[in-house]
Amino acid sequence: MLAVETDINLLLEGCLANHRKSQEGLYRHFYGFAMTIALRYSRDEHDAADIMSHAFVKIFKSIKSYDAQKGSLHAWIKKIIINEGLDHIKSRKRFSENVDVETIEAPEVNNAALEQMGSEEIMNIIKRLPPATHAVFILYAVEGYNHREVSERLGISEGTSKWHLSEARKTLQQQLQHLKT
Amino acid sequence: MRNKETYELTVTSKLEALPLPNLEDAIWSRIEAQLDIDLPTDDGNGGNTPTPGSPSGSWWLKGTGLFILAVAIISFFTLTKSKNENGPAQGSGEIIPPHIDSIAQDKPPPDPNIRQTPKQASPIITSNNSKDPVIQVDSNSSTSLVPPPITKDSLQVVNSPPVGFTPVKDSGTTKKKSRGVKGITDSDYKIVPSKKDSS
Repeated sequence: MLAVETDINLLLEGCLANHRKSQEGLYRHFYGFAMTIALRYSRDEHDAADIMSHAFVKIFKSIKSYDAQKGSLHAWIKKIIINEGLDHIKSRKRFSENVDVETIEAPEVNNAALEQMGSEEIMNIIKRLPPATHAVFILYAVEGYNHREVSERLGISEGTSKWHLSEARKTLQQQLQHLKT
Repeated sequence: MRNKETYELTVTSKLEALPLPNLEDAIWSRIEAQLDIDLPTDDGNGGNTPTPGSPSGSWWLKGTGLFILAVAIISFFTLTKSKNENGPAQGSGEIIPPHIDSIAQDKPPPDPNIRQTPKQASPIITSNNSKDPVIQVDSNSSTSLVPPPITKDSLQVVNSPPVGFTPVKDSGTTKKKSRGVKGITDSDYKIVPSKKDSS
């Protein structure tokens, strides 16, 4: 563990000096971690590749702003990947759409049925959601943000965030029932 | 952050288990290409240690630069040499203007028979002390000149009433090769009215 941290510190020093080999080393070290996050905000592998390339260019360009005292490198990189993923979702058509916040429901999701599903099946349901619903569901259900934080990140109201989450849960439950039958 | 529900924990664990696409090298190529534009390295070869004979090394760049420099130096000396051979001797690039007096002395004296006038396209009416105004036409001018009809009122020459006009062709400033029979000059062709106009 200590050896890995030493390696990362060496890579960081190289990245600060704009050494390509160090940048490549840091990218390859965090590839799996970052790609897992990028895939959540993507519809396919090409979307994920776009998010990854843009995010890592930003990481290397702003590596001097990373402060180890404020948080871990993992958290810093995760934040940049999520921001890039949200920008990617926002660039898709029909991100902003009129919602009826008066009729927000909270449908239950059958967890037992969910556990029987494969990772790719769940991801296929999520990526077919409308862009804003997709973003809200990932931020809320996977990243663990509350509605106030989600609304701030997406520039929407808390009511709208709740509506999108409700829609996502409804869709997920419908798909689970469909698979069950 | 907040406490997650059960189904959210399940979704999170499932998404973390997603198989990763095999795009690691392809994505790095894109990142590297963008970094070469946005954050070029000092050595210009992406921070790699250059190896002799390696195609990624910068030896060919240095070679091209040296070749261009050599061509520029050779061209400069060749041009300078040809200038010295063709042009007058000049010391340390100083430009010496030609001596005007010496050029004027080299020029042959003007022929007294040839009337020299400054080059211009319009006819000139002169009325020195002679009685007859003379229209001089520049022979070098490509414009064909037709003298306007002259009346008494149109000429404002004092002391020399307009009697008649003697057009004289200007032979130009350069001396022409003499033609015809020797002893006959251009002044012999000057047409002068034998009689004065009675009016």
